[in-house]
Amino acid sequence: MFLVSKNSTVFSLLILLCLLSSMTSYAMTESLQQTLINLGDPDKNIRQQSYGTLMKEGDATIIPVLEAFISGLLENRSGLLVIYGPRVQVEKGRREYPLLDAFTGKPVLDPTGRPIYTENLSSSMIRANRTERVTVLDLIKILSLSHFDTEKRIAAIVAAGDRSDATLAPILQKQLQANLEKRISDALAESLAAIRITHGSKSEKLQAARFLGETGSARGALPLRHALANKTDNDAEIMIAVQDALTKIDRYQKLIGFIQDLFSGLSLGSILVLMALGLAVIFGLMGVINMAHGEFMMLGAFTAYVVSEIFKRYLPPGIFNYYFLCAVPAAFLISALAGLFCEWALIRHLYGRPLETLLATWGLSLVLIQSVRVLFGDTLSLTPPEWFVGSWEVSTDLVFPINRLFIIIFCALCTLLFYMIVQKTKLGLLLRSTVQDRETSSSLGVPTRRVDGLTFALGTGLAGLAGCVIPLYDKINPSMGQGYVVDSFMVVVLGGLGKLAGVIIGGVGLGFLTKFIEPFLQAVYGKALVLGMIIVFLQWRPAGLFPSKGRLVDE
Amino acid sequence: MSQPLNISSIVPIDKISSYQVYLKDAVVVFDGFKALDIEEFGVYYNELRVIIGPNGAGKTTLCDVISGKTSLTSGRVYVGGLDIIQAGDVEIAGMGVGRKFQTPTVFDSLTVWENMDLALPRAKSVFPNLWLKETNEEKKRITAILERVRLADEIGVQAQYLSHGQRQWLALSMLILAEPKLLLVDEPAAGLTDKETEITAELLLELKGQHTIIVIEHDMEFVRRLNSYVTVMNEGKLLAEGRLDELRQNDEVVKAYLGRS
Amino acid sequence: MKNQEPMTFDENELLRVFRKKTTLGVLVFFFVVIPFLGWFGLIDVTNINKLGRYLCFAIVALGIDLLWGYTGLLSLCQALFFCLGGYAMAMHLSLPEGGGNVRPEYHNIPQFFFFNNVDTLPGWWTHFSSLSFALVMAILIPTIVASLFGFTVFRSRVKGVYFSIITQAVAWGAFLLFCRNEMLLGGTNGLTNFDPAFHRDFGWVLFFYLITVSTLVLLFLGAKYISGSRLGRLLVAVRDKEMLLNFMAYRPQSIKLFAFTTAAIFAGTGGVLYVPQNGIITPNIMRVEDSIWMIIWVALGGRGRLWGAMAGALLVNYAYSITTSDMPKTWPFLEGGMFMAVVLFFPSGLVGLWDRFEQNVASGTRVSGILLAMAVGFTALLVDKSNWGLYVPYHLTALIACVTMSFLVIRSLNPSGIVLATITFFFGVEALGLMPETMRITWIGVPLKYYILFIILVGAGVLSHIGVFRQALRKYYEPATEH
Repeated sequence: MFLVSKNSTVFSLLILLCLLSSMTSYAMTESLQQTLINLGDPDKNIRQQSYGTLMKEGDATIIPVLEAFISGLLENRSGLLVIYGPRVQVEKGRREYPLLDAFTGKPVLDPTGRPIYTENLSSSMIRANRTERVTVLDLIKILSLSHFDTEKRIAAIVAAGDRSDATLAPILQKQLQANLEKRISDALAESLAAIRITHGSKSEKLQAARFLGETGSARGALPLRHALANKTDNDAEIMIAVQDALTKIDRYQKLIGFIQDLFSGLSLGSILVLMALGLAVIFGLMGVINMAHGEFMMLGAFTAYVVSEIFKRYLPPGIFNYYFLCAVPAAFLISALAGLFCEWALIRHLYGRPLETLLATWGLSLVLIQSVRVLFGDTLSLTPPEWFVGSWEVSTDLVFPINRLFIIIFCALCTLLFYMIVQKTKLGLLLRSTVQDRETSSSLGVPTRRVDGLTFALGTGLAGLAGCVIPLYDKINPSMGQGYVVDSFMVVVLGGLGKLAGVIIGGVGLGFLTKFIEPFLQAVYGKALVLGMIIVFLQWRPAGLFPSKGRLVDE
Repeated sequence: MSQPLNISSIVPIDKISSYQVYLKDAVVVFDGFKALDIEEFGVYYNELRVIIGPNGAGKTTLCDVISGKTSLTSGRVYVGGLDIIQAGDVEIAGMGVGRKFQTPTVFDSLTVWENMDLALPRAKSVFPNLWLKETNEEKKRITAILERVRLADEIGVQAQYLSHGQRQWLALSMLILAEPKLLLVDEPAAGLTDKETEITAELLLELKGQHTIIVIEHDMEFVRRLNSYVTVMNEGKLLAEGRLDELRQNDEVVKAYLGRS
Repeated sequence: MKNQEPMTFDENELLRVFRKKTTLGVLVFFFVVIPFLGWFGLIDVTNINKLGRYLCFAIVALGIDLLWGYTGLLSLCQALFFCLGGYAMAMHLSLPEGGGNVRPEYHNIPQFFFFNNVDTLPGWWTHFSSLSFALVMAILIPTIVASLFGFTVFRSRVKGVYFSIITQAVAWGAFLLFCRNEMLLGGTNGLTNFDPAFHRDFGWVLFFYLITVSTLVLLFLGAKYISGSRLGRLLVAVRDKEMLLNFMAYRPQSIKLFAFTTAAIFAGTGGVLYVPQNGIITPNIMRVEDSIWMIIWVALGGRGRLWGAMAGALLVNYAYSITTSDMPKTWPFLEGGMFMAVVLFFPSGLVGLWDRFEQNVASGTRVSGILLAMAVGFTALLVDKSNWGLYVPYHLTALIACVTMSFLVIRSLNPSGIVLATITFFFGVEALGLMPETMRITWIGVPLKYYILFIILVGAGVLSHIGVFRQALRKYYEPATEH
C-alpha cells in the first residue's frame, strides 16, 4: 500500500484542520467573492482572469456557485450574487425558486426578514458559453475532490477513477497521504489504482492490479477489463497480473453476491414468516381462511403512519425517532382489536364452513381497503427513524441496509415471542386445548368463545406487526396487502399446519427461492416458477412439510 | 391364548387362500401409540363373524386396515387371497369390499332413492354415468330392500332429514345393495330401538352364508341374536375367540370389559 | 350448504303450469321482445350489447355452479379460463382475416408487434387467421390446461380449501405471465383493434346477442342434463361425503376432474362470445379478484340451481354497472357488503326468495296482480322512449302507473313477490336504459331511485313480518289466554 511517513503526520493534521475549518464555516474570502462576481463581467479578459484565480485559490466552498453558474441559476442582483435554489411548493399548486446568497448559502431575506421566492428566472442570469462551461466543469471536478460534503467528495473521487483522469492523479495522491477517514482513503486508493492501470509505469501497473485484486471491488474490475481489452502493453507480466486480479475480483463478487441474495431472501422471508404465522394460527388452528389477512397487515402499516404523524405534528422534534417504539405496540393492538371485532361480528357465524369464510373475508377485505382509501387517500410514505437509515458495510461492496437487518431481527424476535406465548403460557395452553378438542376444553371450563376471539386477534395482530415494519423500506398504499397474501398462503400450504418450524422454513425458504431465481429469470417468471415448484412439491407431500395430525386434516 | 412362536414373514399359502380375510403380525402405530397388534386373524369365506371389545380396542382400526383406509405399519393383510398392502381404498372397494361406518354415512343432499342408486354395483367411472339409468330389474331390487327397512315411503326425502335410525338403515341398505363379497359392518345397531335392532339382525342373518360379513358391535343382545363366532379384542390385540357363551365364562374377557378391579 | 333441490317427486300441478309459463315468458322476452324493441330503436344498441356481454357471464356462471354449487369445489381461476377462450378469439379478431384493424406502417399485423420489434407474424399466430382454428383452440386450450392442472392436483387428494388456494396461485401466476410483452399477446394492453362494427352496428350486435342467448340455452340444457343424470348425483356426492365414494369404488378424482374441466369449457365459451362484443381483452380480467367476482354471481343467485347462477350473473353485473356509474366511491363498500351479507344471511341466494314465491303460487295465491303491475309500469316507461310522449304527458302517465302498481301489489300482499317484482322492475328498467331523469336527483350522493328501492324493500320486509308483529301484540294484550 502507499505508506505515509511519520513526519508528514503532523503536516497532514494541519491540512486536515484547514480543510475541516473550511468545511464547517461556509465563509469565503473577499477576493474570492469578487472573483466570482467577475464571472458575470461582460469583459472577456476579466472573465478569463477570474477563471485563473479560481483555479489557484478556489476551494470546495465555491462549488455551489459554479454549479449554479453552469446551470444558468446564478444572478447578480445589484452587487449581490444569488443562486436560484431548487423549486419548492410554496402553497398549493405553486412552486417557486427560493433565493440563496451565493456566498453563504443562506436564504436571502426581504426587509421584513422573510425568505424571498420568485416564480420565474430573471432575464439577467449570468450565462456561461460552451467553452466556459467546459472549463468550469473541469474546475468543479478538481474542487469536488476536497468537497466538505463527504458523499459528494467520494462521488467526485470515484468519478475521477472511473474516467481514469490522469490529470487528477497527483491531487488524489496528495489527499491519500493526508490520511483521511477510511471511506475517503479507500475511494482515493481505488481511484488512484484505476488511473495507474491505464496511465502508470509498469511497476505502478503491477502494483495497482494487485491492489484492485485484493479489494475485490466491482468498480475496480472496469479499468482492469479495459486494460485487457485494449492491450495497451503487450507486456505479458502485466497481462497476467491483470488477469489474476480479475479472477480474484470475480470470485469475491460471486461470494458476496451469494451472501447478498441470502440476506435479501432472509429479509423478504422474515416478513412472510410473520404474516404466515398469523395466517397459520387462524387457518391452521381455527380452520378459517382469512382473505383479509393482508388488510390487517395494511392496518398495521397505516397505524405506524398515524403514529408518526402524531409525533411529527404534536410532539417536539427531538423525540420523533421514538415514534417507532410506540408504533409497534400500536400496530399490534389496532390490528388485534380489529381482528377481535371482525371475529365477533362476522367470522364466528361461519365456523366449519371454510369456503364461506373465504368469500366473507374477501368481502371484508374490500370494505377495509376502501375505508382506508377514503380516509387516507392512496400512496403514502413514512419517514423512518434515523436509527434505521444507512447501511452496514461489512466489506467491500457487501452492504447490509440497516433497516432490513432490523426487520430480520424484529421478525425473529416476534416469532420467538409468539412461540413462547403459545407453548409456555397459560393462554397458549388454553388456545391449543380449545383447538384440539373443543368440547372437552369447554367442559373443563375453558371459555372457548373467548379463546376463539383471542386466537383470531393474535393472528391478525401478528399481521399488523409485519405491517408496521414495511414502511421502513417501502411506500404504503391501501391495497398493499394483496401482494403479500398469495405468498403467505403459499407458505402456509407449503409448511403444513403441524409445527411452527414448518411455517418458518416455508417462509424463509420461499424468500430465498424467490431471491435466488430473480437474477436468472425476471421477477415475474421467477414468481411463476416458484408457484409451479410449490404445486409440484405438493404432489409429493400434499399436506406440506409438517403435516398436522389434528382433526383439521379430515376437515 | 397360545403364545406367539417366532415371527415368520413367510405365511403359508393355504392360510391365505382359505380365508377371505387374513392378517398376520399386523401392527398399526399412530404417533407412538399402538392401535393394532394382531398376530393372526382370519375370517373364512361366507362366514359371519362378530368382533366385540371395549372402547379403543382397535376394532374400527382393524376395519380401516381391511378396507384400505389405514395402512399397516408392519405385517401383512390379505383379502380374497390378494395382498392388499399397496392397494388404495378405491381398489379394495372395487375388489368387492363394502363398508358401513360407525356413524351412518350417507349423502345428505341426495334423496333416499338417489343414495341407493349410487350404491348399485354398476359402472363406476365418469362418462358412462352420464347416460346410464337404473334398469327395471335394479329398480325392483332397490324397492325390495327399502321395503324391508321401511324406507319405501321416503324415497323422495333428502337423507339429511332422516332420523338416526333411518340413516343407519339407509347406510346398511346401500351396503347390501352393492352385493360385495365382504361386508364390514361397524355398529349397525347403534341408536336403534329394540324393534329396529331385531329387523337389522334379520337382515344380516339373511345374508349369512352368501357373503362374508364382519360385524362390530357393543349390543350383546344383538350379538347373541346373530349366533356366530365371536372375536374379542382389547388394547389392539386379540384377546379371545369363540362362541358367545364360552366367552362369557372367560375371566380375561370379563376383566377386559369391567376394567382392572 | 344445505340446498333445497326441487322436489321432483311431489310436484304441484299448479306449480308445473306456473313454471312452464315463466320459462316460456323468459324465452319470449329474450328471443323476441328484446330484438323487437331494439329494431324499433326503443332500446339503445349499447344496451343490447351490454345484455349480450352479461349473458356471456351467465354462461360462465353455469360452469361455476356445476363446479361449486354441485361439486363443492371453489375454483379461483375461472376468470383465467374465460380469458384463455377470449384470447384465442381475440387473436383471430385482431388479424386482418378476422376484421382486425391493421395498418401498413405496422406491417399489416397487430400494432403491438411493432412496438416489440417484431416484423412478421410468429408462426403460431398465423394459424389463428382461420376462424375455425381459433374456435377450436378456444375450447381446446382451457380443456387441456384444466385437465392437466386438475389431474395433478386432484391426484394428490388435495382438500377443498387447499385446492382454492392453489387455483388462486395459478390465476395470479398466469396473470403475471400474460402481462409480459415477450409473450406476444399484447402485454398489459391486451389485444384490441378489432372491427368496431362488432360492438356498434345494430346488425352485428344483434347477431352476437342472439348467438349468445342460443348458446346459453343450449349449454343450460346440457348442464341440466348433466345435473339430472347419475353423474350429477355423483357431483353432489363428492360435495357431501367424498370419502364414502372411495369406499363405494368410485374415483372422486375423476369426477372432480370432469367437473373442473367442464367448468373451464363453459368459461372458455363465455370468453369466446364475450370478446367480439367487448372490443378488447386485457390480462386485467383474469386476476384472482375477477374470479372471486364471478363466484359472487353464483353465490347471490343461488348455488346448486342452474337458473339461479344465470340470474345471479345478470343481476350482480347490472347492479355493478348501475351503481358504479351512480356512486363510484361507494361501490367497494357495496361489493364487500354483498359478499358478507350473502354468506351470512342469504346462503340460498335469489333462488331462496323465488322458492318462497313459488310456495305462495303453489298454495294458490294470486300473483297475476304483481305480474300485471310490472307490465303496466314497464309500459309507462316505454312511453317515455317512444315519441308518443309528446301527446301524452309523461309524468302523469308515470304517476298513474305507480299508483296502479302499488294498489295491485299491495292487494296480493305477497312480500316475496313484491321484492321480486321490485328488483326485476328496477333492474330491467335500468338495464334497458329506460330510467327517467327525475330518478337521478341525488341527496347526499345517492340518487332518488335507490331511496325508493330501499323503501319498497324495507316495506316488503315489514309486511312479511306483520304476522309476527300481530302475534306479539296479541300476546301483550291477552296474556291469560296462553294458560
